[in-house]
Amino acid sequence: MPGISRFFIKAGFIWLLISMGFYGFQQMNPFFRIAYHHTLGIGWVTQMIIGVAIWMFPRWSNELPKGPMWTWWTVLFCLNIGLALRLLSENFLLQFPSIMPTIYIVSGVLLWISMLVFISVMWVRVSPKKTPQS
Amino acid sequence: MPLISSIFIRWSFIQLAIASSIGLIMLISKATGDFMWIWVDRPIHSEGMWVGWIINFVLGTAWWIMPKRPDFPDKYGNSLFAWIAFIFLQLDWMWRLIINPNYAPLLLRFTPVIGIFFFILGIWPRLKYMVHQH
Repeated sequence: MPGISRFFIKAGFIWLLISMGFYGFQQMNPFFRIAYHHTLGIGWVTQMIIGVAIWMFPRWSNELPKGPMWTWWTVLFCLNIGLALRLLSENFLLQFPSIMPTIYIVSGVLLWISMLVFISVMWVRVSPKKTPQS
Repeated sequence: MPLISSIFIRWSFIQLAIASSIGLIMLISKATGDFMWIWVDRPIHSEGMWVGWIINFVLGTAWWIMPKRPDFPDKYGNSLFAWIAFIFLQLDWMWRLIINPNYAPLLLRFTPVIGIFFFILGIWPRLKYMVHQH
Protein backbone atom coordinates (compact mmCIF):
# COMPACT_ATOMS: atom_id res chain seq x y z
CA MET A 1 0.00 0.00 0.00
CA PRO A 2 1.47 3.40 -0.98
CA GLY A 3 2.31 5.85 1.79
CA ILE A 4 -0.26 8.40 0.67
CA SER A 5 -3.04 5.78 1.01
CA ARG A 6 -1.94 5.11 4.58
CA PHE A 7 -2.25 8.82 5.38
CA PHE A 8 -5.79 8.93 3.94
CA ILE A 9 -6.88 5.79 5.80
CA LYS A 10 -5.34 6.82 9.13
CA ALA A 11 -6.93 10.27 8.84
CA GLY A 12 -10.21 8.50 7.98
CA PHE A 13 -10.07 6.48 11.19
CA ILE A 14 -9.43 9.62 13.26
CA TRP A 15 -12.47 11.30 11.66
CA LEU A 16 -14.52 8.16 12.37
CA LEU A 17 -13.57 8.50 16.03
CA ILE A 18 -14.56 12.18 16.01
CA SER A 19 -17.82 11.43 14.19
CA MET A 20 -18.80 8.89 16.83
CA GLY A 21 -18.28 11.63 19.40
CA PHE A 22 -20.60 13.91 17.42
CA TYR A 23 -23.07 11.00 17.15
CA GLY A 24 -23.38 11.11 20.93
CA PHE A 25 -23.61 14.90 21.08
CA GLN A 26 -26.21 15.17 18.30
CA GLN A 27 -28.61 13.10 20.35
CA MET A 28 -28.44 15.73 23.07
CA ASN A 29 -28.32 18.70 20.72
CA PRO A 30 -29.48 18.47 17.05
CA PHE A 31 -27.06 21.31 16.22
CA PHE A 32 -24.28 18.70 16.02
CA ARG A 33 -26.12 16.60 13.42
CA ILE A 34 -24.46 18.40 10.49
CA ALA A 35 -21.03 17.90 12.06
CA TYR A 36 -21.82 14.21 12.58
CA HIS A 37 -22.90 13.69 8.95
CA HIS A 38 -19.91 15.54 7.49
CA THR A 39 -17.26 13.90 9.67
CA LEU A 40 -18.77 10.50 8.88
CA GLY A 41 -19.51 11.00 5.16
CA ILE A 42 -16.47 13.06 4.14
CA GLY A 43 -13.94 12.48 6.91
CA TRP A 44 -14.45 8.74 7.20
CA VAL A 45 -16.19 7.17 4.15
CA THR A 46 -14.92 9.45 1.40
CA GLN A 47 -11.39 9.48 2.78
CA MET A 48 -11.32 5.67 3.05
CA ILE A 49 -12.59 5.44 -0.54
CA ILE A 50 -9.88 7.82 -1.77
CA GLY A 51 -7.13 5.98 0.11
CA VAL A 52 -8.14 2.57 -1.21
CA ALA A 53 -8.82 3.87 -4.74
CA ILE A 54 -5.31 5.40 -4.99
CA TRP A 55 -3.90 2.04 -3.93
CA MET A 56 -6.03 -0.40 -5.97
CA PHE A 57 -7.47 1.32 -9.01
CA PRO A 58 -5.99 0.89 -12.52
CA ARG A 59 -2.83 2.83 -13.32
CA TRP A 60 -2.74 6.43 -14.39
CA SER A 61 0.29 5.64 -16.63
CA ASN A 62 3.32 3.35 -16.55
CA GLU A 63 5.54 6.22 -15.39
CA LEU A 64 3.08 7.54 -12.79
CA PRO A 65 0.92 4.57 -11.76
CA LYS A 66 -0.93 6.49 -9.03
CA GLY A 67 -1.07 9.79 -10.92
CA PRO A 68 0.84 12.96 -10.01
CA MET A 69 1.57 12.70 -6.30
CA TRP A 70 1.20 16.43 -5.68
CA THR A 71 -2.46 16.10 -6.57
CA TRP A 72 -3.00 13.51 -3.81
CA TRP A 73 -1.17 15.65 -1.24
CA THR A 74 -3.39 18.55 -2.33
CA VAL A 75 -6.51 16.43 -1.81
CA LEU A 76 -5.27 15.22 1.60
CA PHE A 77 -4.44 18.75 2.75
CA CYS A 78 -7.58 20.45 1.41
CA LEU A 79 -9.95 17.75 2.67
CA ASN A 80 -8.62 17.52 6.21
CA ILE A 81 -7.85 21.20 6.78
CA GLY A 82 -11.15 22.14 5.12
CA LEU A 83 -13.16 19.77 7.31
CA ALA A 84 -11.39 20.86 10.50
CA LEU A 85 -11.86 24.57 9.70
CA ARG A 86 -15.48 23.93 8.85
CA LEU A 87 -16.21 22.32 12.20
CA LEU A 88 -14.37 25.06 14.06
CA SER A 89 -15.97 27.99 12.23
CA GLU A 90 -19.49 26.51 11.99
CA ASN A 91 -19.76 26.35 15.76
CA PHE A 92 -18.63 29.96 16.24
CA LEU A 93 -20.28 31.74 13.29
CA LEU A 94 -22.43 33.93 15.51
CA GLN A 95 -19.92 34.46 18.32
CA PHE A 96 -17.21 35.90 16.04
CA PRO A 97 -19.06 37.43 13.06
CA SER A 98 -16.04 39.44 11.89
CA ILE A 99 -13.75 36.48 11.12
CA MET A 100 -15.64 33.18 11.29
CA PRO A 101 -17.79 33.60 8.13
CA THR A 102 -14.61 34.09 6.10
CA ILE A 103 -12.98 30.99 7.61
CA TYR A 104 -16.22 29.12 7.03
CA ILE A 105 -16.23 30.01 3.32
CA VAL A 106 -12.51 29.16 3.00
CA SER A 107 -13.21 25.75 4.55
CA GLY A 108 -15.97 25.10 2.00
CA VAL A 109 -13.75 26.12 -0.90
CA LEU A 110 -10.96 23.82 0.37
CA LEU A 111 -13.38 20.88 0.59
CA TRP A 112 -14.75 21.65 -2.88
CA ILE A 113 -11.23 21.84 -4.36
CA SER A 114 -10.32 18.49 -2.77
CA MET A 115 -13.33 16.83 -4.41
CA LEU A 116 -12.66 18.31 -7.84
CA VAL A 117 -8.94 17.40 -7.79
CA PHE A 118 -9.78 13.85 -6.70
CA ILE A 119 -12.36 13.50 -9.48
CA SER A 120 -10.11 14.95 -12.17
CA VAL A 121 -7.25 12.52 -11.43
CA MET A 122 -9.35 9.42 -10.73
CA TRP A 123 -11.53 9.97 -13.80
CA VAL A 124 -8.58 8.98 -16.00
CA ARG A 125 -7.84 5.86 -13.95
CA VAL A 126 -11.33 4.34 -14.34
CA SER A 127 -11.29 4.06 -18.13
CA PRO A 128 -13.01 0.86 -19.26
CA LYS A 129 -10.53 -1.75 -20.42
CA LYS A 130 -11.34 -3.01 -23.91
CA THR A 131 -11.34 -6.77 -23.49
CA PRO A 132 -13.75 -9.25 -25.09
CA GLN A 133 -15.28 -10.05 -21.69
CA SER A 134 -15.78 -6.53 -20.39
CA MET B 1 -12.34 -2.59 -15.54
CA PRO B 2 -15.67 -3.52 -17.18
CA LEU B 3 -17.62 -0.80 -18.93
CA ILE B 4 -20.51 -0.83 -16.44
CA SER B 5 -18.11 -0.34 -13.50
CA SER B 6 -16.49 2.57 -15.27
CA ILE B 7 -19.92 4.12 -15.87
CA PHE B 8 -21.05 3.55 -12.26
CA ILE B 9 -17.86 5.15 -10.91
CA ARG B 10 -17.71 8.07 -13.33
CA TRP B 11 -21.38 8.78 -12.70
CA SER B 12 -20.64 8.76 -8.96
CA PHE B 13 -17.93 11.38 -9.63
CA ILE B 14 -20.44 13.55 -11.51
CA GLN B 15 -22.88 13.30 -8.62
CA LEU B 16 -20.10 14.09 -6.15
CA ALA B 17 -19.19 17.20 -8.16
CA ILE B 18 -22.82 18.37 -8.31
CA ALA B 19 -23.56 17.56 -4.65
CA SER B 20 -20.38 19.20 -3.34
CA SER B 21 -20.95 22.31 -5.49
CA ILE B 22 -24.46 22.66 -4.05
CA GLY B 23 -22.93 22.10 -0.60
CA LEU B 24 -20.43 24.91 -1.18
CA ILE B 25 -23.17 27.34 -2.23
CA MET B 26 -25.24 26.34 0.82
CA LEU B 27 -22.24 27.00 3.03
CA ILE B 28 -21.63 30.43 1.47
CA SER B 29 -25.33 31.14 1.88
CA LYS B 30 -25.13 30.30 5.57
CA ALA B 31 -22.13 32.57 6.05
CA THR B 32 -23.36 35.58 4.06
CA GLY B 33 -27.14 35.30 3.84
CA ASP B 34 -26.95 35.34 0.02
CA PHE B 35 -28.11 32.61 -2.40
CA MET B 36 -30.98 31.56 -0.15
CA TRP B 37 -32.65 29.85 -3.14
CA ILE B 38 -30.05 27.07 -2.90
CA TRP B 39 -31.69 25.59 0.22
CA VAL B 40 -34.44 24.17 -2.00
CA ASP B 41 -31.76 21.86 -3.41
CA ARG B 42 -30.73 20.47 -0.03
CA PRO B 43 -32.14 16.96 -0.85
CA ILE B 44 -29.97 16.89 -3.99
CA HIS B 45 -26.93 17.65 -1.84
CA SER B 46 -27.61 14.97 0.77
CA GLU B 47 -28.89 12.26 -1.60
CA GLY B 48 -26.13 13.07 -4.07
CA MET B 49 -23.49 12.51 -1.41
CA TRP B 50 -24.86 9.40 0.28
CA VAL B 51 -26.55 7.53 -2.60
CA GLY B 52 -25.17 9.22 -5.69
CA TRP B 53 -21.53 9.30 -4.67
CA ILE B 54 -20.96 6.55 -2.12
CA ILE B 55 -23.39 3.82 -3.22
CA ASN B 56 -22.72 4.21 -6.95
CA PHE B 57 -18.98 4.16 -6.34
CA VAL B 58 -19.11 1.09 -4.12
CA LEU B 59 -21.38 -0.85 -6.52
CA GLY B 60 -19.20 -0.01 -9.51
CA THR B 61 -16.08 -1.09 -7.67
CA ALA B 62 -17.76 -4.25 -6.36
CA TRP B 63 -18.80 -5.32 -9.87
CA TRP B 64 -15.20 -4.92 -11.02
CA ILE B 65 -13.35 -6.43 -8.06
CA MET B 66 -15.52 -9.27 -6.71
CA PRO B 67 -14.51 -12.83 -7.65
CA LYS B 68 -14.94 -13.65 -11.38
CA ARG B 69 -16.64 -16.70 -12.91
CA PRO B 70 -14.39 -18.13 -15.64
CA ASP B 71 -17.06 -20.80 -16.29
CA PHE B 72 -19.59 -18.13 -17.38
CA PRO B 73 -19.76 -16.69 -20.91
CA ASP B 74 -18.95 -13.34 -19.29
CA LYS B 75 -16.59 -13.72 -16.32
CA TYR B 76 -18.38 -10.82 -14.56
CA GLY B 77 -21.71 -12.65 -14.73
CA ASN B 78 -24.78 -11.24 -16.44
CA SER B 79 -24.00 -7.55 -16.88
CA LEU B 80 -27.65 -6.88 -17.78
CA PHE B 81 -28.47 -6.96 -14.06
CA ALA B 82 -25.85 -4.31 -13.35
CA TRP B 83 -27.14 -2.12 -16.18
CA ILE B 84 -30.73 -2.37 -14.91
CA ALA B 85 -29.47 -1.58 -11.38
CA PHE B 86 -27.61 1.46 -12.66
CA ILE B 87 -30.65 2.86 -14.49
CA PHE B 88 -33.06 2.29 -11.60
CA LEU B 89 -30.67 3.80 -9.06
CA GLN B 90 -30.54 7.11 -10.94
CA LEU B 91 -34.25 7.71 -11.66
CA ASP B 92 -35.27 9.22 -8.34
CA TRP B 93 -32.20 11.45 -8.11
CA MET B 94 -32.53 12.60 -11.74
CA TRP B 95 -36.17 13.51 -11.10
CA ARG B 96 -35.16 15.57 -8.07
CA LEU B 97 -32.31 17.22 -9.97
CA ILE B 98 -34.34 18.15 -13.05
CA ILE B 99 -38.01 18.34 -11.99
CA ASN B 100 -38.51 18.88 -8.26
CA PRO B 101 -35.86 18.53 -5.51
CA ASN B 102 -38.41 18.06 -2.73
CA TYR B 103 -40.97 15.77 -4.29
CA ALA B 104 -40.87 12.61 -6.37
CA PRO B 105 -43.85 10.44 -7.36
CA LEU B 106 -44.39 7.43 -5.12
CA LEU B 107 -43.23 4.91 -7.76
CA LEU B 108 -39.96 6.75 -8.33
CA ARG B 109 -39.11 6.73 -4.62
CA PHE B 110 -38.86 2.95 -4.74
CA THR B 111 -36.67 2.71 -7.85
CA PRO B 112 -33.46 2.59 -5.75
CA VAL B 113 -34.66 -0.53 -3.95
CA ILE B 114 -35.45 -2.15 -7.32
CA GLY B 115 -31.99 -1.19 -8.53
CA ILE B 116 -30.27 -2.73 -5.53
CA PHE B 117 -32.42 -5.88 -5.92
CA PHE B 118 -31.21 -6.37 -9.50
CA PHE B 119 -27.61 -5.69 -8.50
CA ILE B 120 -27.82 -8.38 -5.82
CA LEU B 121 -29.29 -10.80 -8.39
CA GLY B 122 -26.33 -10.12 -10.66
CA ILE B 123 -23.54 -10.31 -8.10
CA TRP B 124 -24.91 -13.23 -6.06
CA PRO B 125 -23.52 -16.07 -8.25
CA ARG B 126 -20.04 -14.57 -8.03
CA LEU B 127 -20.08 -14.62 -4.24
CA LYS B 128 -21.54 -18.12 -4.15
CA TYR B 129 -18.66 -19.34 -6.29
CA MET B 130 -16.14 -17.90 -3.84
CA VAL B 131 -17.67 -19.96 -1.02
CA HIS B 132 -17.43 -23.16 -3.08
CA GLN B 133 -13.79 -22.49 -3.91
CA HIS B 134 -12.67 -22.33 -0.29
